[in-house]
Amino acid sequence: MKPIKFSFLFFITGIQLSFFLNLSSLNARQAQDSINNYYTIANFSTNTEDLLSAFEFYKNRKDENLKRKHTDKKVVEDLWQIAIIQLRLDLLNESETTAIEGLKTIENSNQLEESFTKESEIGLNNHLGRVSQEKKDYKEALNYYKKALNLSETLALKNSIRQNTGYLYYHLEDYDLSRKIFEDVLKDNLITDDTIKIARSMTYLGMSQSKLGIPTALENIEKALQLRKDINYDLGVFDSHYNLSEYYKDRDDNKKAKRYIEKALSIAKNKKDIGLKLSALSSIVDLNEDNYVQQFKFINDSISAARQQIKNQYSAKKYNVEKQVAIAQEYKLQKTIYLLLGLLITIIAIGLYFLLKSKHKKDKIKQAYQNETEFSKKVHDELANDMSDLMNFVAHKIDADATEKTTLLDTIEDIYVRTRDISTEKGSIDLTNFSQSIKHLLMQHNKEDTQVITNDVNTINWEKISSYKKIVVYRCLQELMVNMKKHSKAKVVSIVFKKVKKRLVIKYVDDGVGCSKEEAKRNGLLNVESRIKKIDGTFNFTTSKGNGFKATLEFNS
Amino acid sequence: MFQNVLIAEDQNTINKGVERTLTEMKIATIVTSQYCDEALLKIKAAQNEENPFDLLITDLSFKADHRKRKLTSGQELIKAVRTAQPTIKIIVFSVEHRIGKIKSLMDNLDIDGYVEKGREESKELKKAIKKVFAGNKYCSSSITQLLRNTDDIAQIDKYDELLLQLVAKGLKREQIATYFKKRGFSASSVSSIEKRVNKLKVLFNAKTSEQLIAIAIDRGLI
Repeated sequence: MKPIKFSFLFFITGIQLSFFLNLSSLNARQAQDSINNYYTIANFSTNTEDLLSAFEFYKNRKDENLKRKHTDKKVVEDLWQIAIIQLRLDLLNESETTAIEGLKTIENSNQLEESFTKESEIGLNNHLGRVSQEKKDYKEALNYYKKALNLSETLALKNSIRQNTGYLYYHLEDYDLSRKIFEDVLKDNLITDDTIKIARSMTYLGMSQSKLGIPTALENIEKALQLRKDINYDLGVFDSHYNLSEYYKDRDDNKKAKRYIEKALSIAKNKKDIGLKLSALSSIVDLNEDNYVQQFKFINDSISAARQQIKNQYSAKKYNVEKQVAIAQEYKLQKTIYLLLGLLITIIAIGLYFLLKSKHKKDKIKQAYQNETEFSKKVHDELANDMSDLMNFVAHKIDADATEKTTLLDTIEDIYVRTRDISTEKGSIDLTNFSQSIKHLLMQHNKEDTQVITNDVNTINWEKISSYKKIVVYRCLQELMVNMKKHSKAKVVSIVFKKVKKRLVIKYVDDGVGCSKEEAKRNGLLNVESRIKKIDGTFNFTTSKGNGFKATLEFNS
Repeated sequence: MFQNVLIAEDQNTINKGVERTLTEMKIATIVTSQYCDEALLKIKAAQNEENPFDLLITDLSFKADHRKRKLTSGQELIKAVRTAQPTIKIIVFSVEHRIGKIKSLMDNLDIDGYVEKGREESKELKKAIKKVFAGNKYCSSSITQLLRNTDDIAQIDKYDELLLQLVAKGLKREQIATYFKKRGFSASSVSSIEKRVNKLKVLFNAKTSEQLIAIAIDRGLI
């Protein structure tokens, strides 16, 4: 219920920067400096208009500071004050966001002193604990308090935070726990001579005991009241009276309860504090047994609670919407980035795949070529030479019958020529003067009874064609020519080179005997096809018995 | 006759065979070398001693062995020798049979003779040495035949292609002549066009112009 919450809010301890600590008494209202003035308003004023002007002051200052460099410390201080004001204006979600922003600024900054970092982290976590408590998110509140507690090093700070934890458990009606905490806090407070704090922990130790029915309860509460009176701490006295009223109310002593709450009300009136007045009056109404008054209070409280709930929900929703919009935008950006990244990776992968594939193809062709030429050289150097040598040996050194010798020499020569031809077939190709190489290849097959005709071999600009493709083209033509020589009995063979855009076409036509498709395949033309396919080219041929042979090689430059 | 001859050939038995042939020809000094680099050094050394070689007989292919080589083939040796001693006569003695390779030896490296290893090699080598000594070029008979054939390889040039296209379009000889004249072709008279068409007919084994066009289309020329 709002009034009670109001009173609790008031007593939950905020933690302030040490710079301000000397001001953390109500006397600071007299501070002349506007900053101090706004500080006082932010932390102590209950006037909404004043709070709003303080809010505007800090917000403007923060925006100014954000524009300049090396102002992280000031930005954190401003955010902290804004968060406090927002909490006091009951803007819980906004206050939470601001405090988190403060923590993030600390985290991302590299210009803050360690002492400041620690102090503000404790303060902001404690603040977030308070906000969460107001939002009734007690688990979260405890988490924040725990964080603040872990960071705290001084007993005073630790006690303030533990006190807040105690309120939390007291509010949750876990009086066993709250009693234990307040007991510890009181013990520690007693070491210091901070009367305000001693009285405060003593009061709530008493109240926890009261709820648990422990006899020493009243003693503690009354002792605390005396301490507060001794130092003229009005706010504390109000709190004591308020709690004593509750103490007697719990014991159905409405007379005493009413007396104490009336005392509290008069303090509130003196202080002209509307919040305190409302808390006191609400308690008084509780004590009124008049049926209508009770009904009115019940309904009023219900409506206030409902309104507060709606407000919280609205605020939470608004906050969530903003958060979601931000998340969505971030997500969208991320998605775009990932999409682009993904696309890039895909493109690179595809490119790499084809590059490697084509490189693999190239390497394979080059490797095969290298193997062939090495093999050819070996056949040439070792076998062909030896055969020639053997032939001479037989011719000059062997004493035999003349006809037998001729037969022997014929046989050796045949083997020699065949050996040499094998070597020739797989020999190296001059790829730099490629058109010349092709011409030589065709010349080799130009016989008296077989006319080879070409058009300009340089119709295709061979200089611009990669060597692995030249190797393939050469071997294909070689295969066709060898095939022609062996089987066709052709009189006119033409090889025509054409260029159609990027497509290069070599057309082979002879007027020989032709062959069936099956024969053509047997005659090594399958090799031509498999070769040209390695450079993504095509090989087509048409032939039939008695009608010559036509073939087309096509590939891209 | 030649007095100082260097034989560069990596196979010892062949070396011996060539040596024997040369001895039969009464050549005084016969030096052999199995490595190109060594052969070049010997040629340079002989020059320095003012008793240079007057003939080099070399193979084309040399096997690689443990030695580090600068010159790895007969072609490279010939190039180096031509620079060191431009006047030296060079005969290539090899199993190489590819017309392209042999043609480029003759055209680019300016060799004096080419003898193909084989049954008739010693006879041919003798002939070659005599011819080259007399200041002539020599080539093995089998290769000569091949070389002759290569001269006959028919290359249809752009002019022919254009001519065939125009005939295919049905243009008369006069019209073709005008067309060629306009474009500044040298062979643009009616008679030279007629001659060229007839030549193509013979080449493609065609009896009429119509048949020639059909063949040209069939062969992908136009």
